[in-house]
Amino acid sequence: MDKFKVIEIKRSIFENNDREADRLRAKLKGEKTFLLNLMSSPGSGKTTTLKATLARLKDEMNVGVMEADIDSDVDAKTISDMGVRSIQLHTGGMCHLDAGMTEQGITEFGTQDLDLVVLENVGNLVCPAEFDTGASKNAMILSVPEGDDKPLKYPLMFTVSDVVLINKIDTKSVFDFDDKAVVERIHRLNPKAEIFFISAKTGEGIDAWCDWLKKEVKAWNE
Amino acid sequence: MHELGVVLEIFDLIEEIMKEQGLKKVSAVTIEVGELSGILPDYLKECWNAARLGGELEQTELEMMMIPAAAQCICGNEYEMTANNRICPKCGKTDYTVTHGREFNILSIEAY
Repeated sequence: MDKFKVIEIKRSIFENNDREADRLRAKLKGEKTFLLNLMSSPGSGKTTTLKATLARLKDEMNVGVMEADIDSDVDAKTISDMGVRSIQLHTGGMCHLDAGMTEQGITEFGTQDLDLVVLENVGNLVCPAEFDTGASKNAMILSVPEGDDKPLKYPLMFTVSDVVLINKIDTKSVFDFDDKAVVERIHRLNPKAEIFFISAKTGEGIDAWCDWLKKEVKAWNE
Repeated sequence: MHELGVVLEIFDLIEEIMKEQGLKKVSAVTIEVGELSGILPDYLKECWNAARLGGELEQTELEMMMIPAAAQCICGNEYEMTANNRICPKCGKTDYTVTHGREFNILSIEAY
């Protein structure tokens, strides 16, 4: 029998996924399709924010939405009722999407004619942060009722997000939410993060966020 | 459920290394897990034990080395984050850069 030997490796466990994600990103760049990975906790107002965003963008560019969910099609129905092309991806019990699953979804959906695809990731602040999906940019929504200490509890999510939307600012009088503290906590983890204060319900701040997104899509697809 | 996805990533990477190095059997794998990696070692082990059944890595043992979270303060002092509740024991500030704790790597494998 052969003798066992110990082989030194030192390789990142996420390296396969990171490589697939880079490949997908390059492919989408070539096809002039911007992929936005939208992440948040359950109940942060992700679908409502998406609806408010799509209402402002859908006449200006070709938009599609990929809804990832463990097992339902509630969100995809809401989006297609607005006249926006959408597809529901079931993760089959998994709590996040990885680059391979995202690519499968992209292929199934057919995104060549789309300028912007929004991937609504599974509602969870832990797992989606660890798996690069191949998106052009990562966005996350933090809602006021969740508290201004969320960046301290989920540092990785705030480190990987290019843009943070602070939603439900219309409820600020009810909750003890410190705007200055939250901005400081996010910027300590990620000095380059863009932060927008919004209310998907009243529409406050949505224009500024949409202007940022339009600018990013334009720059990517040039 | 998060740990299961992670275990499958480890399987993929081991299989890739086996192919690259022409290994027939892996008896053990050692990984390093940083305290801030978001991985819970007990769950990871449970998922490992369930996921390996019936596969090529059924006999492969998982060993984990935990790495405590460490930070470097703007004053230059390096300290353990959890034991000090993130506060620099030297100057009392919480203005730091994380230096250790985010690791999640395969360190070595025992194989033939």
